[in-house]
Amino acid sequence: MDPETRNLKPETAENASGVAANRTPAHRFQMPKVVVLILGIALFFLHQDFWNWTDRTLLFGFMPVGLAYHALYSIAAALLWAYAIRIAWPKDLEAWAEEEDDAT
Amino acid sequence: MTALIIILFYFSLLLVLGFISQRLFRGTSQDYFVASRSIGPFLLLMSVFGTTMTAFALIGSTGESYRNGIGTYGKLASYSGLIHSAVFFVIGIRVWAISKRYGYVTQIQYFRDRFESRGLGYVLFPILVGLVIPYLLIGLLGAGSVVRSITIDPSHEWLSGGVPPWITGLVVSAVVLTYIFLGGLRSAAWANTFQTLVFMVTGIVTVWIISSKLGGPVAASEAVMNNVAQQAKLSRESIPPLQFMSYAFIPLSVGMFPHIFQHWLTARHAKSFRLALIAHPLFIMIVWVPCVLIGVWATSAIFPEGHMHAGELIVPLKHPPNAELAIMVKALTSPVLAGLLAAGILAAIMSSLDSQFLCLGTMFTNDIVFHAYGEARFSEKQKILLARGFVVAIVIVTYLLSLMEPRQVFKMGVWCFTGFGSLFPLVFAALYWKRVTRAGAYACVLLTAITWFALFAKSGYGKTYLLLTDLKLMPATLTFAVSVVSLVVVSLFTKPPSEKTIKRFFMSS
Repeated sequence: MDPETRNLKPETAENASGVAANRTPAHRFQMPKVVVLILGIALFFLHQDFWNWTDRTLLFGFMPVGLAYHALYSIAAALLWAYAIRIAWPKDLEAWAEEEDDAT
Repeated sequence: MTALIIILFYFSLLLVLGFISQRLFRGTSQDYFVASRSIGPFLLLMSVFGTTMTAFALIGSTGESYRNGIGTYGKLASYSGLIHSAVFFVIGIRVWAISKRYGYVTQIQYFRDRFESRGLGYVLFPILVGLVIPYLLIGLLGAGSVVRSITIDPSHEWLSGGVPPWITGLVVSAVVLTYIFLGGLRSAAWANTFQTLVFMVTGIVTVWIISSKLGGPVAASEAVMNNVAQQAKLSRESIPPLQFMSYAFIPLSVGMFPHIFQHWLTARHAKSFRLALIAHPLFIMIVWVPCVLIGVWATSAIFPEGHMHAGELIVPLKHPPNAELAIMVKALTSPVLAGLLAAGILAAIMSSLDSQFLCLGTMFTNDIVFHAYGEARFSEKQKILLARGFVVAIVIVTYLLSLMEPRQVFKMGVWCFTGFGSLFPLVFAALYWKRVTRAGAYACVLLTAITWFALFAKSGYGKTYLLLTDLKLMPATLTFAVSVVSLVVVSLFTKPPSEKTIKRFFMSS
C-alpha cells in the first residue's frame, strides 16, 4: 500500500491525484489516461511507416532504414510507458488488492 | 566436441542454480506456484522477458528475416514492444490486484468466479493446454536444431551429423524439469533471470563477431545490397501493408498466456511492474535487431578468401529448418564461442520452457483436481506431487510430438500466438465490461477455438495460411473478429452477471 493511503480507510483514502481509492480506475475518465490513450493510438498508427516500405537505404552504411525506424519505435514505446507510469499510474489498485473483501 | 562440452557445462550450471534456489523454497504450494507473491521489479522484468523470448525470438526471427527480410522486426518485435507493455499495464496490474485480493494462482480460477461458471474452466483448460503445446514444441524443435548444427564434428564419427535432436530434446526437458521440480516458480524466476542475462549478452557478442568475420557490418549489408536476388530483403516490399498491420493481433497473446499470467501473480507490489513496462520494449530491441540483421546478412554471406569453401554461400540454399543462426555461428566463430553462443540460444529456449511446464502443472492441480475433489483433502506435498506428475505427462506428449516432421519455428509460433491473441477479448471484457455474460464467454471461447482449429488444419497443421487472396491477412484477423463478435453479441442477448459478482470485481460498484 502507498504510504499516503496506508492510514486511511478505503472509502476516504485518496491518491495523489485526489481520487477516492475505493473507485475503480477502469471506470473513471481521467485526462492523464486520455493523453496516454491518444499517444498509444498515435504510436500504433506510426507503426505503419508506408514511406519506408520500399526504401533500401542503409543508414551508417549498414542499417536498413526500415529496421532503424522500428528500432527507434521500440525506444518510443518505452518512453510512452515511462510517461504512462508518471501520469496515469493506478495508485489505488494496490490498496484495493490488500483490502479485506466485504463483497463475498 | 568443444561446443558440446560447453553446452553440457551450461546444463550443469542450471542444475546448480536449481539446487541453490531449492534452499529458498519454502515447501508450500503457494511458494511452488507463485513464489509466495514475493518477486521484486528486477526479477519480474527478467522472468517475464525471459519467458516471452523463446526459440521464436532468436532462431525464428533469424530464419524469418533470412526468408522475408527486415520486415520481420516490424511484424512482431516493434509491435510487441508497444503492445506487450500495454497489456502489462491494462491487464497485468489489474489481474495481479484481483488475484492478490482473492488468492487466485491461475487465470481459470479468476474466469470461473468472474463468469459464475464451473464449466467454463473445464472448457478453457484443454484449449489453453492445447495452445501451450505448440509453444513447447517450438522450444524443443529450436533446441534440437541449434545443438545439431553447432555440434557437427567430422573428427568424431559419432558427432559427424551432430547431436541428434531427439537426444537434445530429452536432455533439455530433463534439465528444465529438474530445476522447476526443485523450487517451483521461484526456481524458474531465478533461472530465467540468469538465462535472460546469458542470451542477451551472447546475442550482442554474436552479432559483433559475425559482423566482424563478414568484414564489418557495412560490408555485410553491402553484400546484400549488391545481391540482386536478395536486396529486396533490406526493405519490406515483399510484405503487403495490410498483412503487416494484421500482425498487431499476435502480441495480444501475452494477455492470455497462462505462464505469463502466473508470473504476474508473483509480483510483490503493483509497483514491481514499472520496470518491466519500460524495459520490455528496449530488451526486445536489444535481442531482435541483431537476430534480424544476421538473418538478412545470411542471405548473401559467403566464405572469405582462403577458406576451403571460399566464394560459396555460408548458409546453403537447402538447409534444415530453423538452422540459419546456428550455421552462421558455427561457420564464423571458434568452437568455444560457438558453444557459448549455443548456450545463449538454449538459455532463451529454456527460460520459456520452464514457466510453460510449471504453469501447466499449476493449472491441472488447481483448476481440475482441486476444483473437482477439494483442495483440503490434499497435503502440501501431495499438491506439489500432482503438479509435477501432470508436467511430466505433458512433457512426454510434447517430446513425442517433437520427433515428428519438424515445422518452422516462426510459423508454429505465429499459430500459437494467434490462438492466445484471439482469446484476448475474453480477459479484457472480464476486467472492463460489467455486462459481459457467462454465455458470451462460452460463445467466445468455443467459437474462437473452432475457427482457430479449422484454419490451423487448413494450413496443413502449422504452415503459412493467409486470408483473402488479395489482402493476404493473418488468420488472427478472422479469429479475433469471431472472438469479439461472439462475446459482445451473445452477452447483449443473455442474462447479465449478478450484482454480487459485479460488486466483487469492480471496485466502484
